[in-house]
Amino acid sequence: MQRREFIKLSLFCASAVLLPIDIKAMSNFKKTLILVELDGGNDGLNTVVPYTDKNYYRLRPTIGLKKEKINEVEKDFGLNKSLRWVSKLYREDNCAIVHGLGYDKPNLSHFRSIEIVETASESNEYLDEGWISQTLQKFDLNDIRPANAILLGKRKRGYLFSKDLNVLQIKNIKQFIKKARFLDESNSNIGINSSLDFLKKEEKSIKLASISLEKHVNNINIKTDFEETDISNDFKEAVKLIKSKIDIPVIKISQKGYDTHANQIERQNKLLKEFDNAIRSFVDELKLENLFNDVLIMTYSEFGRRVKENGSNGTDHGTASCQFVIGGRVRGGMYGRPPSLNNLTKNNLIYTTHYRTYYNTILSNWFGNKTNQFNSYDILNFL
Amino acid sequence: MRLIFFLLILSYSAFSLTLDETKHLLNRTSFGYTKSDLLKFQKFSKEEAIDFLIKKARSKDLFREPRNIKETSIFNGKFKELSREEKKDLRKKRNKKMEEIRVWWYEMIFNSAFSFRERMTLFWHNHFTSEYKVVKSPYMMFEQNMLYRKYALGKFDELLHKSSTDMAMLVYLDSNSNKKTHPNENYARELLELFTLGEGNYTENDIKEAARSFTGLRVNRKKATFKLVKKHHDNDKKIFKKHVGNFDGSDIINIVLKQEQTSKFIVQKLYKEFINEKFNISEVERLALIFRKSNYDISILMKSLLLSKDFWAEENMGNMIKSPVELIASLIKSLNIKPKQKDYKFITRTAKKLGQDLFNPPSVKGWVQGKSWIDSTSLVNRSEFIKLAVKRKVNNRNIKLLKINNFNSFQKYFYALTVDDKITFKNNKTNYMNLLSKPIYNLK
Repeated sequence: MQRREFIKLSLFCASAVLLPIDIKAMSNFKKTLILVELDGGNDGLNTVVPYTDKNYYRLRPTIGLKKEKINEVEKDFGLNKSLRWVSKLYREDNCAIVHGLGYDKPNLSHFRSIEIVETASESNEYLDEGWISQTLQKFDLNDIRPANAILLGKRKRGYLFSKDLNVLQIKNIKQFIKKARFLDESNSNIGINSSLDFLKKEEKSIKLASISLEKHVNNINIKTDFEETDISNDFKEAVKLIKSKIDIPVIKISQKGYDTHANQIERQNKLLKEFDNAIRSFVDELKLENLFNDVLIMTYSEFGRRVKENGSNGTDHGTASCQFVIGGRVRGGMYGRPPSLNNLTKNNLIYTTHYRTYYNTILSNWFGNKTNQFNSYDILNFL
Repeated sequence: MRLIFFLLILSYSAFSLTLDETKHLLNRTSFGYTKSDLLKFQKFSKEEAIDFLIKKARSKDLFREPRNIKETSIFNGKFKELSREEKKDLRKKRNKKMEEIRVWWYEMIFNSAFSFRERMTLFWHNHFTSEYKVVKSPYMMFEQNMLYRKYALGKFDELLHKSSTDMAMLVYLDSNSNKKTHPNENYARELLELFTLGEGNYTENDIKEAARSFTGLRVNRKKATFKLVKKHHDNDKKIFKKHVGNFDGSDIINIVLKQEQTSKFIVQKLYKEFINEKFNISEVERLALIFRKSNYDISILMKSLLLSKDFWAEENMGNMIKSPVELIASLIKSLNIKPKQKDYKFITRTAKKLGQDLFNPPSVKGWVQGKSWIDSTSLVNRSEFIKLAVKRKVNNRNIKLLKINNFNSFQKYFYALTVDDKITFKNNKTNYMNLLSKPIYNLK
């Protein structure tokens, strides 16, 4: 792992957007982390299936996936058959599975738990910045890199980013550029009230971003076909950004619908399949351009689901779950200890890998920020 | 000097409304205003204006609803048994019916006579959420909408009870398949977390016990209501919030209504939606007490909230962001645009694009109000919408009727704030497009 140097951002970013550009301050970090939020709480046990564990079928007599519904990738684990290409990437050693991710005193509310996961706070602690904020603050903005992060598709901001970061939300890059052209910003009437100031700041950031996007991204073409689904569209926009030279360090994509209290099999399989197809096209395009090594995809979710199924052919909110890390630099395989299905708390898994371990690994070994706030936690060996 | 000021404050609600106050009241409660609304309300005192809004909101008048809502919606056979083509056809019919119902709602939203009632209906739609995408029945969504309209300013306790057995709700949060042998926690959790107490004010065990109490409720499609299927209902003892008994869902709701926290939670949400995104705790406590003492009368609560010092505080005027529906409605009302059928397609599409597809909130938490409406994409889309709408629907006659001759009278009519811009004002469409698509027009 090469050591990456960050150039400290000298002023807070809110004003940095408005400052003249300092070209030499551009860091030479040209890699992108794609965060994929499996929104709603993805059921890890039906994603990476412990098919040799009798407890799995005992607790899930109806929705437990039989051997023929999975791709056996390890002696004791198989991937949901909907994940055809992810399975292939796993076998090619470009996909890591991290088991048992969670935190202490789990909260089972969607809205509170995603806040805990994204801020890496204690269960009873409220923080105003996400786990990635401090590292993102080290990235300088300039006329080529207009933002610290870009949210695509559903553009769910969540709790990841502190207020001083410049974050863009874009559904369709071409449309965005076209419309932003007509935005006429002015510097007058600052300080009348907080809402107007907020709108003016947003307007300014849009204007600056659209100039850079128009210059560097508007004319990027894609060779691979992408499926017509939300998540494939998001990955399609992401690949354009990555192929350009604007060097956005973080792109976030949310995929909705994992709250499978009822009819889980049908609903989850459909979502996983859409995820899988998006990954396929995305990785194909990256490989064509020789960019697979410059991109890392990591998934996360507010929680996993209850081990014991409910009476609606679904599962209620749970605790720990497994997640995927995919990329050219990934050392494939299984990381973290799979939680026991024999030792549950109220039918829920006891987590084995703290989310901060996951984050420390990414911050240290992807961004090279070894002094990050979680560096007292372990490092997983997938990078 | 101070004494005079004090006396002024004491009696201020007896004076008639200023233009700024009128705009503030109507922007926050009524999806904006027409020119005649402004003239009418300026004759009222604060209290008279609020009484008038509440009285109007009690009206049972409706626009004529779309026909045959029930037929295309309730499908008694098994969806899975249909052929691919039949499924597609049914979906198409349903979506079309849903869109008709949506348009019907918009028509009432745009009509000042119903605005406050519709504003409150939207509040409850956003509180006791259901998504058409999940429920898949226009009829059930329509019935739920009518329930929220009926109780828009009625009794909260009754509304809460009724919503727990509402057909769309039973389907949306899986009560419909919640059974004794394997309870489904979906409804119980959201009842406590999002509808009444708020996160942190219950235990995981409370959720389990509440879920058991709600077991056995099912949609009765034939009679278009709910039923309790005894064999699926758990008749054993439950322990909920330290109460012990053989509870059913209605008992759980009664216990929840006894918690002071429920009144505080509802008042907080109303405060954040009508006054300021950041609530003032002492004011919330004061209003929550009024709410409890009134036995959960929403109209008494809303009157106190709208008469509160906080509602009229200068720093709270023009300091919120219009929701997409408010943005669209306020433009239509202030320019006296009369949308035609084909315009409604544009309206519903725009609202969806801007993040507020009625009958399809983004999650069970509903739409988050305030600054969350704005991001880089929605802000440019808002500006684009205004330009297109003015271009297509405004002619020189609309403009002439407003009798606006300079920038100052323009902003006094259209903006929620007065700004200090040196603008050469031209009384034409292009200029209207430019001035209305500015960020300031997003404020209310």
